[in-house]
Amino acid sequence: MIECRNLSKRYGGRTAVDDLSFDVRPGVVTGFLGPNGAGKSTTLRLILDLDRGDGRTTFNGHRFSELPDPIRQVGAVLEARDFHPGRTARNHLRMLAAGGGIDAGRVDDVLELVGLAAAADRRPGGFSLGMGQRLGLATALLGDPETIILDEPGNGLDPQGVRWLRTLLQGFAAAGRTVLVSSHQLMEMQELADDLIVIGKGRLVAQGSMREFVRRSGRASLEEAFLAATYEAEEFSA
Amino acid sequence: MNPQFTKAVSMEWIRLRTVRSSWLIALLCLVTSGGLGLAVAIHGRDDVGGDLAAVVLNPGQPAPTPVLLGLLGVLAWGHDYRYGTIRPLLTVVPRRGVLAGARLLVLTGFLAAVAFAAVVLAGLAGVLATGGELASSLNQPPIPRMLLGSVLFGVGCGWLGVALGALIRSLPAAVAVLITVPAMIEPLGGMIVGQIHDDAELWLPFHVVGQIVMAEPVAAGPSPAVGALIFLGVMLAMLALAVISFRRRDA
Repeated sequence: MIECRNLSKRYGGRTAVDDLSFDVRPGVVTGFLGPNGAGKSTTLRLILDLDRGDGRTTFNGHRFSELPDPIRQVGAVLEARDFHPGRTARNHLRMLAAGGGIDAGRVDDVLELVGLAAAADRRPGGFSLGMGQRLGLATALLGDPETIILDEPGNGLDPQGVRWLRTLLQGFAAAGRTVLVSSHQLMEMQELADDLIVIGKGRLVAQGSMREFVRRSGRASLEEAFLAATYEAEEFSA
Repeated sequence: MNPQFTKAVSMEWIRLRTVRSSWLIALLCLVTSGGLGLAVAIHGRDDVGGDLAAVVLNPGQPAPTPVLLGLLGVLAWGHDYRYGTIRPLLTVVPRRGVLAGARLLVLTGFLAAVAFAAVVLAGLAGVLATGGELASSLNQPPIPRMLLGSVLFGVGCGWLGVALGALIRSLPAAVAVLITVPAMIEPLGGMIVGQIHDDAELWLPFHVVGQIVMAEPVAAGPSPAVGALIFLGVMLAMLALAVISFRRRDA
């Protein structure tokens, strides 16, 4: 269970996240939606104490930085290419496993799981975006965590990869774990998510069941419901 | 020891040793230090003695090892911002003080080992070039003090690099500051403070380091021990600023 209360973040005179409060419950996949510049990535960084702002986030009652074993509690990927291009995929994961007290044998397991076993000893500077995403996912899965937080995990994945990811995340949720996924791919989100959190201009626009969100909007799809709900909140429209 | 700190130390050691730049810079330190020691010893082998031993260990400034170790320090922290690896590291070790402490411990050990190996290699090269004659001069004063001073100088420059890598998000800007502070900014500052008070420039950090690495310290300057304290104190203050900034700023 993730509980976010009164999250706020300002960059100079611009408010990126404005008094945002929501819950992410276990056992379901929760989609995190918003137009470009709505504050999704900033919110995820605040949740993980990566950015300094106001408000409070707890994971099963504990702040992230106070978790005794964070890698086993929360797995997160905020950028697809958060790795040194010259450090092999295996060494990148070995490094993080050591920091979390995870057995080095787990590294090969997650590389196999994300389909990167053959590229384990390659330097990821030459990886495609999809391979980078898979390495990021391996990072998140390293500690077999209770909570998974992913920012745009489908970017660059091929159709097989998208389906694999959907199955994986839904399996996680079915096992009673907490899954929060930010994405712009609304068709995929409609297939994947049970709950939604929708933000615009840093503020909460909607929260709850995805089906209820679409039904209440009177629209036929998540895409149409989302566009209607965030029409006023588009930061950077075409 | 705190188990989180122990795990963080292990993570930092893997982080440091699994990129080629760490080993390339360490190798460059050894090659340049050993090569310079060899060249100086060959050039002066007709007059073997304490003076030659001192020049073998300190052929002049800027010496390559402190500059290279400063660069290693910049890359050791700056790469995390450049490539975004600071985010996965902080999701594994979210307590920033623990991560920073582990990083500084591992880097200090590595910097000291490379600086020590470089100066020992210079001495060995000198001994080889003189057919063993130089060996008896290497344990005579002021050589042991110069040896220790060279290690402290290398570690201090590495600390400055680490601090700049943490404080300045742009790697090229951090490297530029690392080079220009001792080469340009401090000498310019020294000219100004020297006008205000005689010999005041001798107390500036990259001037006082001369008191510990030179065979004959400047008489008007601080003693080698005080010089070491001033130099390391300033570098530690820079590190403290970097850690405070790291704990407060966005990742």
